[in-house]
Amino acid sequence: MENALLLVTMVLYLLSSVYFLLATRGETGRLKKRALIGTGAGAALNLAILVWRAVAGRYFPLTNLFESLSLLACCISLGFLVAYLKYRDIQIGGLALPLATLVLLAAILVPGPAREPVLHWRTGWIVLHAATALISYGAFALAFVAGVMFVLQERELKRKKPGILSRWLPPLEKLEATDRRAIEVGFPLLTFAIMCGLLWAKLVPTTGWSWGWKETWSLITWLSYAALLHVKRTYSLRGRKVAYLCIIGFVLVLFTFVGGSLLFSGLHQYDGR
Amino acid sequence: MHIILAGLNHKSAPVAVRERLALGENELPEALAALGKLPFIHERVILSTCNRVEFYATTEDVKKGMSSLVRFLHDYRGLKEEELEHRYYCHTEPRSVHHAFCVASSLDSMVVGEAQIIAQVKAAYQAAWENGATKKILNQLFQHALGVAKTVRSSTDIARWPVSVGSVAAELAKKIFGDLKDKKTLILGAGKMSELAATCLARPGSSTVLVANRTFSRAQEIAEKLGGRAVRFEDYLEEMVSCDIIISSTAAAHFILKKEDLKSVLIKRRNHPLFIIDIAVPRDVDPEVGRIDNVYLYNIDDLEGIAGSNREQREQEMGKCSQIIHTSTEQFMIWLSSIEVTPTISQLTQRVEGILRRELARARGKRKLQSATGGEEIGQLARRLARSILARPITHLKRAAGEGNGTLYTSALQELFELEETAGGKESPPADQKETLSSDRAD
Repeated sequence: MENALLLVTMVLYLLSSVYFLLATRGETGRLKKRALIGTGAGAALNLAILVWRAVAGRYFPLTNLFESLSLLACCISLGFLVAYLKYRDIQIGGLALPLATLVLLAAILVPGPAREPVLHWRTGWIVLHAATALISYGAFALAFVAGVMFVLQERELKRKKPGILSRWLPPLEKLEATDRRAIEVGFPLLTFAIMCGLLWAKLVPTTGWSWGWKETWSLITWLSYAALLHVKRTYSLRGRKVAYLCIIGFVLVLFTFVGGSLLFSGLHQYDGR
Repeated sequence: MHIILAGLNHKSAPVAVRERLALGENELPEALAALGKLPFIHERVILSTCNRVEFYATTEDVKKGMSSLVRFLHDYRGLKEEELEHRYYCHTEPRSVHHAFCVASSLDSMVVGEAQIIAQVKAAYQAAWENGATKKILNQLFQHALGVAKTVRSSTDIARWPVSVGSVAAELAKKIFGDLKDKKTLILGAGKMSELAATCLARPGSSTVLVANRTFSRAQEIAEKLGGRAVRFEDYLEEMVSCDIIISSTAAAHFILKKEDLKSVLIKRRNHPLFIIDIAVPRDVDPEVGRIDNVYLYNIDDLEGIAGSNREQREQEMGKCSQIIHTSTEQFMIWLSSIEVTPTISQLTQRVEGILRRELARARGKRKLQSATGGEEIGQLARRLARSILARPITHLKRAAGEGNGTLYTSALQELFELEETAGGKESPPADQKETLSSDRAD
């Protein structure tokens, strides 16, 4: 049953992606509407699946890789909808939705047994830690998307031969504003997430700070974004360089998130330990 | 009825001739009335813009109607034969229909894809309609033309990309800044082009315009025209700090904006992006400036290049538009030929219906059709039967009309069924009266 719903959600995201990409080609109101409805429906369904889990098991559905990926996909699509309400730019959907689709596809590929909720992670600070971390990842994902678009758009404008891409992409300032906002949201959340994690570790007497993959890379990611913010302020960094940093930052996020869950053992391994 | 057209446009006649024939809005009623008085001219619409003057009319005789139109073209402004020779064109349908659709869709305009023409066509049609100069045929023609124009504009890219230097600059500014509402523009120098570019940028709402020129009074002149403020030329570097868009077209022989200057300006601007348009020849801005991060430098060649490739894009779209117009013309022509046969069809239908009603009533044995229901039932039955009998023949008749054989068939039908008698759509006599007549005869 869950699989069926997931597939439907993924199809909705996929369709919305296609509609977004087609819509900006001709600015057709009809395609735009369908894309937005598709995204809204997909996000709602995505959320519903998670809520169902939550209600059924009486816990926050963020205890294993499957749940993390589902929630991440949900955050990306919801994040896009929020960004749309603010900036009214559907082009970002053309990149955010495919990203959400891929993430959800990854979630679907997680085998059944691995989807079992891990009791260990059910309550307390750990939940807050995981949830806020994930939402921050969603924000960073959006910053990544906007960053990529910025680099592409800027290159075309600098070359003075605006081609198809620059006609399709949103204006530079809007992309930059999206980047800024996304990081302003993401960074505090990440900080909070790490602090929750530390707090939880303190409360659980057996563990301390272990230099596992996730922990290390989280730290590196956090430091990078911190550096980004600092440098931005001090050197009035704008434009292409900020975009590059957003892209790098998200790559680090991926390292942290995916690497930690799939490759290495440690505190963050989601296999029931 | 035929749709004929006579007129001239920017391709067929020079502006000197066109402007003599142009009609102002207030002159239209008189002209329409005069045109209507001419022999063989019935419905008429006059379209007069800076790029064309065209007279559309309906006539029953193409040759005679056309000569009336052409005479009007010459006479109403007293132009001589030689002045207009080879400078105007005449069309009859389907070319006239095709032309009307092309004109409304801006395919016949100087700048393909321009937006003004549709409003102009609408106004011309409106004026004719208000003056009672149009009836069914031209009403349909122009309504269709406006519909086709909307379809062409919305389903192709013909109007999408800017083709003038000013609008290209405005598009680029929007690509960089998004909303131009609270962006400041600085104009250096007093060239005509910079004025044009600024107007394009000021239109979407870029609020403040600063003008700097070596001659302060000239700067003030331009600033007033653009609703902005004049500043001293010496202060230009300082003013640039607060401006987002710079348009430079001074007469300076050297670069007035150098890399180092821009670098310090950017630092003061905290690296907010800067869009510089250098329209001066020789150039005002050192091209190296374009390599600075967050500075976007375009010179006149760059803008022209973009405008040129956009123009090509529009030309490419023409193929798609022609398709749409072609199909619409065909559809309209089918309608046009079908109205030729419509009177005959209705006469025939009424005749057959009348006969059926009479015979059915008789077959039912009702001599005196007092009961209303009885009469109604028979009436409805008669109508249904008539329609069933005539359905196929009518389809074929319409098809024949579409192929140009309409007159042949309608005259045959008129003769065979003696339809002339009920020409003008007179109702067949009510059933009971007929009953009485036939019963008198029969018995």
